[in-house]
Amino acid sequence: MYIYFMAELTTQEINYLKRFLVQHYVRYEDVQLELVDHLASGIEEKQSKKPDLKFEDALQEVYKGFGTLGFSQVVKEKEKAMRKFWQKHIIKLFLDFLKPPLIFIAILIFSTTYLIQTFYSFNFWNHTPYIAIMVFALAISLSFKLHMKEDIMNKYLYLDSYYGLSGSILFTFGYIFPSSAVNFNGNEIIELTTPLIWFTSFYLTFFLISLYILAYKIPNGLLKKFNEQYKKYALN
Amino acid sequence: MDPKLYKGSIEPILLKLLSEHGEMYGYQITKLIKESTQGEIEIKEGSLYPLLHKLEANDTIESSIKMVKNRGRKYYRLTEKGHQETSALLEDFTRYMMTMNNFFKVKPSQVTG
Repeated sequence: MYIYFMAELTTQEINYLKRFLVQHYVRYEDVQLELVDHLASGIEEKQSKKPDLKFEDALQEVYKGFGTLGFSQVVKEKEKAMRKFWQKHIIKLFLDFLKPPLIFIAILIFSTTYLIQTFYSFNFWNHTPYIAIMVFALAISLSFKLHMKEDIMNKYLYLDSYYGLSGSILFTFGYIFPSSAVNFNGNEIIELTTPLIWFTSFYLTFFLISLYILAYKIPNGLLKKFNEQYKKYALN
Repeated sequence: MDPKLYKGSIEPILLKLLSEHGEMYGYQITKLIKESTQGEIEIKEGSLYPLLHKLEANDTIESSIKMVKNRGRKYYRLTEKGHQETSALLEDFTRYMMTMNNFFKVKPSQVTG
């Protein structure tokens, strides 16, 4: 039986391992933390058994354990797992919102838009450029809080896909769709008919609720979950 | 041993270890599997971490970080849901091993009659 003293890496060597991971495209801090510990534990064990073994040589030996694909498989699978994790929470946040208060809010928006159109003969479709700009400004300001934290989030993964999804939905319904409606009509004044009033009320109700959920409710819920999820990394 | 043979058994092995040891970290898991199977089963890091991350995303296991020496170390343990899943999976796995054992014990003459 061999008795040997366990080697311990210096802080400089630990920092070297972090740089080594970044050079091998491991940019997420939660993955880095785990792999630094793995590499360090492996190196320490090898150096304890063979004290003459150089740090770099021991590192290469441990790195071989990750196979020919290196860290790429670990990062790829982690991205997949986290995408699934966040998607699950996005769906949960969305479903949490589909409760009775939503019906009251929907009725309120619908009645307000309906009344604006009938009593004041206000035709939203003849004001789409202004409305589109206002809606867009609102969407940006509501999600501003989350964007401020984006730098931190990118260190840990993967809300990029959520921005892509919510951004395209808001852009399509808030800008492209109303703009097209005006363009199809050759920029002429659209006549305010009863079916149009109903359609517009439904459309605005759906759009404003989606906007609230996508730009405010879900980002805030995600931020809360994110803080819970990554609080433990504050050790570093 | 050819890794293809035990590829599907890595998850039950990992869950069994976690149910026995409470909490473990990645390097410890690879080392323990190698030692307790006398080197017959060796899990590559490229397979272990993706599996741990998948199980964590599915809420089968959860993790915490502790400072050990001069670095953070991520420890994994089974969740409540993970404990239930592990019992069911290990039961299935034991039945699978018994079936395979019986199958390979049968002589070819008995099969062909």
